[in-house]
Amino acid sequence: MIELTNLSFGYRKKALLFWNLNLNLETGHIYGLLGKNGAGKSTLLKNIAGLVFPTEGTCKVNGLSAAKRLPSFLQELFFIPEEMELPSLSGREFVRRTAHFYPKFDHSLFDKLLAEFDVNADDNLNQLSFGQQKKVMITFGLATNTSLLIMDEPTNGLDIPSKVQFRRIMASSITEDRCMIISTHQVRDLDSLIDTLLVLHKKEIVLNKSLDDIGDRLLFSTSGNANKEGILYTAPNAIGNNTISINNQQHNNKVDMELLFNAIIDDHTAVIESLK
Amino acid sequence: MNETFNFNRFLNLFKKHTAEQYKTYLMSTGVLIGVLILILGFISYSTKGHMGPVIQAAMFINFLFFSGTIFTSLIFTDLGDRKKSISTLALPASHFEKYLVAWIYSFVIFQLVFLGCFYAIDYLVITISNANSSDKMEVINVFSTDRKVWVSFLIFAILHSICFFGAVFFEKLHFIKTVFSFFIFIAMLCLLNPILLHAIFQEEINNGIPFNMVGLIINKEYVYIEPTQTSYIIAVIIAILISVILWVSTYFRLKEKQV
Repeated sequence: MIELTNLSFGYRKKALLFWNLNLNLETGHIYGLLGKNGAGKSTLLKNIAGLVFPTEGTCKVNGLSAAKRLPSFLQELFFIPEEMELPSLSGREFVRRTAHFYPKFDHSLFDKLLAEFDVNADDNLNQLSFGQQKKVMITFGLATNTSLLIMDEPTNGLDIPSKVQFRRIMASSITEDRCMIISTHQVRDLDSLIDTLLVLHKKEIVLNKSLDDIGDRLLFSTSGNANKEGILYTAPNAIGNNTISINNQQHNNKVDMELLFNAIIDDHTAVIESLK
Repeated sequence: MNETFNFNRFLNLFKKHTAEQYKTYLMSTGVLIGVLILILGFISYSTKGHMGPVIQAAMFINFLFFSGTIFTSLIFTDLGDRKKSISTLALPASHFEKYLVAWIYSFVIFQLVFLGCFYAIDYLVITISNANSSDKMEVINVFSTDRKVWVSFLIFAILHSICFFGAVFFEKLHFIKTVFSFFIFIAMLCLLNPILLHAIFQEEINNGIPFNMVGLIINKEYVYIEPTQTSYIIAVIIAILISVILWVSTYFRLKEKQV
């Protein structure tokens, strides 16, 4: 669905944020995009949405060039930015004025999800708190039923109960025809939500693997339960060490995304190599 | 699907823009009316009700240019605001439809609203001043060929196209940056004009106003050449062409806009 081919991008030609990226993303998945601050997560998402243009290479979504921003491309894409300022309209009026741009918009889903988030559709969007505005946009984005939904730091501004609701709503919204990309630097917010992990580091996508695949190959455990001969990364915790080791015995285990992310950005290439 | 223009999509975009901006536009109209009442009222009072057609024409032109350029410079403000630019550019409408909504509001609707406001206030001020005066004043007809006030619409088209381009080109402080760039261009033009005139006439140049007359010193005699009526037609055509070129450039700049 999304095809990045030899994509390079930089706001200045001499300072590229990514170089020669190749990436294919498919429908039916929720991708979690991780990267350090300044790694270019938001910029990569903007490239996919056609909001910035590649310095070299191409970015295609459903076979259409993102940079052309054609209406047929845009009506299958919804982008929820990290920062937003909504117009001075009620939620209901906003839907009335905007929903018809998205042919598959589901009005009943919008009402249902907004009620779940406990936001009144008659309130003026401009006067809502940042977290409430974010909820409205997440709800609107899900109700558009676009084949691509991009969320840049969607959990910023949400309180803890709302984050739980967000995860539940997102998990129930994924369909075979839909691809969702969520970028965040708060790794724990993606727990039990994403099925594939993308890590952007040093101008490259260093990891693009499903959590099932990662769990099959790597064992995330305390040092006592680790595969002693195959330890790839160790990080101290309050009572001992957390480790990543080779999962020779095919133990069922939950991927500790934070530990994996730290191992990658600490340049432990053995972890990445073991996943190739 | 037509990727360039679809009338329903355009109409929906126009309605959405209106619903989101009408409060700001109404307030701006209120400010324009307030300033017009204040200035025209003051002039009428200080001239003891003798606000003749020349003063009315001057007020019409100054207010049209000043308020029109400010309004046009702000028409694409959302594109320079990172909190709003993504939702504006990612909205499923074509670049041409987004462009056309902004053009219609800043050029067509603005001039209609301005004309309505100016005539309403001017009529009101003139009526009040005529009430206690034997010397009756008349409301100016800005479309009349007598005083050539209609030329201001042509000049406004050029100013609009410059500010329209500046509104997309610059990220912030659109009006100030556009006016600053315009003045630099005019200064460069005034500096280059004598050099160009000297190159053409091979004579000493006394003075030369760009796009107007030229004064030459030939054998210690001053010779002034004024444009013919035909040259004015050429100037009008050039003005229209410049406006069209800048309007088209704005469209392509909008297509290439990044956030």
